[in-house]
Amino acid sequence: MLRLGSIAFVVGACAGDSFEPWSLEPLSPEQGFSLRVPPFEVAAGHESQNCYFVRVPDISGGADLLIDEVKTAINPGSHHMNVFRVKTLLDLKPEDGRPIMMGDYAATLIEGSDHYATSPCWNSANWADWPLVANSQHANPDDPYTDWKLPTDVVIRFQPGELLMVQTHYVNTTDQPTEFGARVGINFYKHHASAPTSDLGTLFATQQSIRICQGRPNVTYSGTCRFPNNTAVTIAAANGHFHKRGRQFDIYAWDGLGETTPPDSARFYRSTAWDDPPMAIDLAVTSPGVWWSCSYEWQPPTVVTCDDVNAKDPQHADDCCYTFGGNTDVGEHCNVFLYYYPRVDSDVFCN
Amino acid sequence: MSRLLFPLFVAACSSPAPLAIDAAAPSIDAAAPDVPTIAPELAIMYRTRDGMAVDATAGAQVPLTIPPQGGLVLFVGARVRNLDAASVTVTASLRDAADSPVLTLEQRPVHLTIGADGWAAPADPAGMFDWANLPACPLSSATRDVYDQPYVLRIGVADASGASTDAKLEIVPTCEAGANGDLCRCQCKLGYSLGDPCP
Repeated sequence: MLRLGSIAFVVGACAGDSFEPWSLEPLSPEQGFSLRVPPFEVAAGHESQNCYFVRVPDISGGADLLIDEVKTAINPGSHHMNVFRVKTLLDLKPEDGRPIMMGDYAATLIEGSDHYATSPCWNSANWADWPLVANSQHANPDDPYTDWKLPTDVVIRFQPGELLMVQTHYVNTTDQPTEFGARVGINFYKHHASAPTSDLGTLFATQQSIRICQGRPNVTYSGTCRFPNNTAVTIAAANGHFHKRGRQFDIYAWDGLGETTPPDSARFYRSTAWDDPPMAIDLAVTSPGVWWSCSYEWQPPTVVTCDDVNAKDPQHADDCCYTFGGNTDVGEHCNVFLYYYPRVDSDVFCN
Repeated sequence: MSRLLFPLFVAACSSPAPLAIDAAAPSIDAAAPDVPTIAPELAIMYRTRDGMAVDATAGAQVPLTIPPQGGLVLFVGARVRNLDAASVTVTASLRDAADSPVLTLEQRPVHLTIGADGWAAPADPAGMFDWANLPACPLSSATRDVYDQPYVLRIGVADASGASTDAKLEIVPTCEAGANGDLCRCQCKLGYSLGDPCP
């Protein structure tokens, strides 16, 4: 196990690359709470998806905990880091994990390794009704931080003792190397102002049953989602997630009237970098809904072979078809992470 | 883009024609190569619980199905004629009424196989990929239960040449029996909030 917690020097790496280990201030209960994923290594040519379960600490005297800033620091090689509120338990259960500490807080860990076909930490159906809390796909060696200050008087509302699941996904391939070990820190900063607040709502969307085949190499999948009660909310932040066949991820404001891709003037997000997608955090887009499009261009796998890709294809079409899920070399995604206010009645899952 | 007049009822093959409540005039991009010389046609179809592709008729009970990624979807699509079957994109949407806003929509490429009758239908009807996986539940925009009530399904198809057509049909999304049905009736119930406990 690589230990980086006390390292205060520049870690050298191959080809002259270097990485200044990140540092996040540990928060006092007055300031908020800090979660730290214990450092670990990812073997070359492999991936790692881990699920950590931890409870929100009671640091507000039993009252709801209001958060107005989320700061993450993530070692390079991270593919994603998502935080969900745990709801219905199917095959992914906190009691099945091994005890660890996430900084000051007791947690359990289910290691998914790269066993995407068998580990419950890889099966998204297990968290289909778990509302999103926060996410980051940013783990640049030159800037491993994401500092997301919520709009004025907008807060993430936690109940003390509420169970969270922090999911990490690391890749250690030539496409997305993990040269300095896997390490993730999250700070949730407590809201202190006294003005009335508005709860942040979250939208997580996953495009079903996508398929990118050699025989039809350029394809686009699109989906839509409307906010609760058809309310025109303010979209504050967003990011899109796909894998290495992904070429363009667009998200648009959508009024529910049209059935064609909205005009460019309605687009508020675009990603063309699957391995470092931008997170738009200063949005102020008012809309009753969103439309997204994921465009792909087929390419051969770089780590495994088309035989491996074909083996995962439920249709067994023998056309090197990438389908949903699995690690970055054999599978694809088209997921939207989006944050809005007011929350209205519910967070949103669009399947 | 030329617009061709087209009858209200869109299916014209020997199979029973679905009762469309509206059908747009198909369009053909006259500037594109390999332009079909006759108007595109479609018949709305859906996947049954046992993986069969069937034509939808007015009031058809279309299964709400739990897909691998969670939630519930309607596997809906079309068989088409006079389109380039190798490049078809299907757009599926659901509305409360024919003239009301879209509640949910999905657009995807599909693989169709041309049959002896000249119609191209989902190549793998028992699978998920050649159907629109139209998200149905949870549905944050719902104004009533999503199951056992009539909704207007619209299916649009287009090919790479720009030729397209579409049709609308009233259907009834339906939960199955058993435990999956209990989950369906919970997550498709008006007022369901993400994370609410379900059976």
